[in-house]
Amino acid sequence: MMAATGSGDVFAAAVLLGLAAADVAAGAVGVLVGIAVVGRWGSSSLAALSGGQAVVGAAGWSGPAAMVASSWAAAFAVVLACPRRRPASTATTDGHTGVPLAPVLACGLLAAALVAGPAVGADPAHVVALRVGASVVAVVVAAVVAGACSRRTARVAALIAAVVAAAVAVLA
Amino acid sequence: MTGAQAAALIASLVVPVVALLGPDDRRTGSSGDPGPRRGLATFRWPQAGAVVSAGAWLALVVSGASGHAVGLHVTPVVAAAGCGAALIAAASLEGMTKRRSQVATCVALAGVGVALTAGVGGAQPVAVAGGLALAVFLTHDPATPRGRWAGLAPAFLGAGGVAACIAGFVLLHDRSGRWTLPATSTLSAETAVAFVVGAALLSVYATLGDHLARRRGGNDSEGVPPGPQVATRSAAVLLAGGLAVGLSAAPLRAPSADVGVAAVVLALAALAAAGSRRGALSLALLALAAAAGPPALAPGARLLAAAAVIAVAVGRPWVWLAALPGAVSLGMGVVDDGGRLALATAVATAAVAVLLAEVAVDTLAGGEDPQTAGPTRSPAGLRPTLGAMPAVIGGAWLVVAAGTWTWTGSALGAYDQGMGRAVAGGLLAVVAYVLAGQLGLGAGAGVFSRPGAGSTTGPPGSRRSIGAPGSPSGPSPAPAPPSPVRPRRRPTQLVRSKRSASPSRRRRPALFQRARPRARSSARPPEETRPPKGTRPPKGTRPPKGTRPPKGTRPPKPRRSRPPKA
Repeated sequence: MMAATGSGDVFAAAVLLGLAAADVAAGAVGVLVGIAVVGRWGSSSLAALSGGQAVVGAAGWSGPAAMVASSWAAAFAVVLACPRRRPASTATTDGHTGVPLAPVLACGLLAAALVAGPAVGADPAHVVALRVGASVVAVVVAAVVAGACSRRTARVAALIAAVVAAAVAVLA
Repeated sequence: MTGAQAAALIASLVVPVVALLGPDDRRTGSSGDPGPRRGLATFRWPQAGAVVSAGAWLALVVSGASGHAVGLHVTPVVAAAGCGAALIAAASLEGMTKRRSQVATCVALAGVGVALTAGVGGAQPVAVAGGLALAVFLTHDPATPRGRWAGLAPAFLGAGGVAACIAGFVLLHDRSGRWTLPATSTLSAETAVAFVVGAALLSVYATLGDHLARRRGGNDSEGVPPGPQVATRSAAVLLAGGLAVGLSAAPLRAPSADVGVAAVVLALAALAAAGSRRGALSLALLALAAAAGPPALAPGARLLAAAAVIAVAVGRPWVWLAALPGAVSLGMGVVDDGGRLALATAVATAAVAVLLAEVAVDTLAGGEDPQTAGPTRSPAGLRPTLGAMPAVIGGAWLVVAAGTWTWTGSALGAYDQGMGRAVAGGLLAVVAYVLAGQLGLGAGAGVFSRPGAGSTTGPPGSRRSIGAPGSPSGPSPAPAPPSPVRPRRRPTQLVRSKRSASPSRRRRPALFQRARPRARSSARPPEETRPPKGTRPPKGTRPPKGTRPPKGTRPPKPRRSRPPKA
């Protein structure tokens, strides 16, 4: 909800992401992504993130190359931090082992907001189309990654991507 | 201050002590044993007094009371600390049956209030030292598992905290010639450090009682069942007082006074406390470290202190989430300040957050408590007590709308907006989930259902047959032996059941169905197979008058079950 509407705080979103995933690593990834956002945009507010993108362009292809790379790394970290499919031991009795829908949606929307989440401004049709398209792509990618990767691999990759994003945003 | 605010201030100090004059519930009944209590009946007069005191303090906080009246002075931070102390007292009094402990807690609460508000005319050291020392003396519990000297260690901590505060006042008098804390930032570094160290020692003392009680397996040695559900002890009321002293004094230091070393030491101590699974203490120390840091971190420090007070009042690991707005505010302060000390504090905050999250996840996942060597996940271990409910409400308010806590000086408008929308979205999702369960759609189906009625269902989608044994549309269950005693009708139940093994059970819309006892329905034939009223069976099938069935075939007469005599 926060990522979709571009309101709230990125650290709060990170903690909620960790709660949804019931995973400390996911929360840590969220905090690192928050540091990356603060390092680039100077604020942890998602509204500031959207407003900044509305002014200077989408974070995924506008601005210095290091910052663009940081944004993409942060988005990938969020997607990789999405909760995995359930292991067989905890699967339901009817054999349901699918990817949990709500965390996938949350991770996808947050990742889209990090890369292509400008606020609706002068060209609303273009912005809405951009955001909807980016959100759909990010949600699909999150679902695919959550269904394909193992939990351990994805967790390590997410942590590495988040550290890279935070380090590049702070140091660059 | 207005007259109403002065009245609220006096009430907040007096009511907890007056409540002790209420009827002693141990004397109720002939045998002196009040018997088992449940729900609101567990509320005692001192506990009600603490809640009323918290309400009076809250009125002062909300109305923004600041100034002098009737020889007392109050600031928003002081009022908030008083409210926190009262909330802790209300939670600590839960389960306290000893009269001495109740008196100690309530008088300690009043002592903390006096320490924070009295001493207007230059007698602030006397008020602070006297009130806090009285509270330490009353709440000290020498019963520890290691003997007499180990039992005195907490007392030394508390006394050391009070002594450090006195030293701070002495240093203040030496440097500025006054005995009251100034309104402007003129404190020297040594004075500020003395107050912060005193606050830290008092915080350790206040939370040490909980730690020892957990190791001992009981709350204040009063027979509360052992285990991790032990919440707080009476000494915990000193946490709010100590934090108020530290948070009031630390920001008053002069711009040239550097207390960075103290801030780093406190941050490391917070890390150590988090590593030893003491979440409330780690939050309190982190708040003091932030208060000793750059001024931009002051709002975050106050929010973290509020979270620490709520954490010690509730005493459950999930309440550590209340530190979220404080961490966000600290992040904003780090961005504003940009210094090394602020960055170090932020790093310590992140590390504490990770450690506490690890502990909380471990606890909620059903790990083993290393102190009690028992399972940490139990309904009683995660559910807050009734006395802690006001603190739970305060914690929820803090997490959702921290920007409305104006006494902290934080600017969390964006945070509030996002959390409000997140909560609204979450509630909508819950409603949709429950509705899906009602309509038999999706994953929400079958979440709310009756216990013990799952395996005997009729055809999928047949609402009438679901869970109703003997219904003609569904397969009949195995006939239960006839019970001579008519079972009592069970009330409507709303119970969360486990996920069903059968796919048809997931379609059961059983949110508010009345549970029907199986024994009764099996003893009587279904409605459709019984003859209508007023009709008699044909003559050939009736037994002749005067004949009785043989003795072995007669069903036994139902006996009335009488309740046992008291």
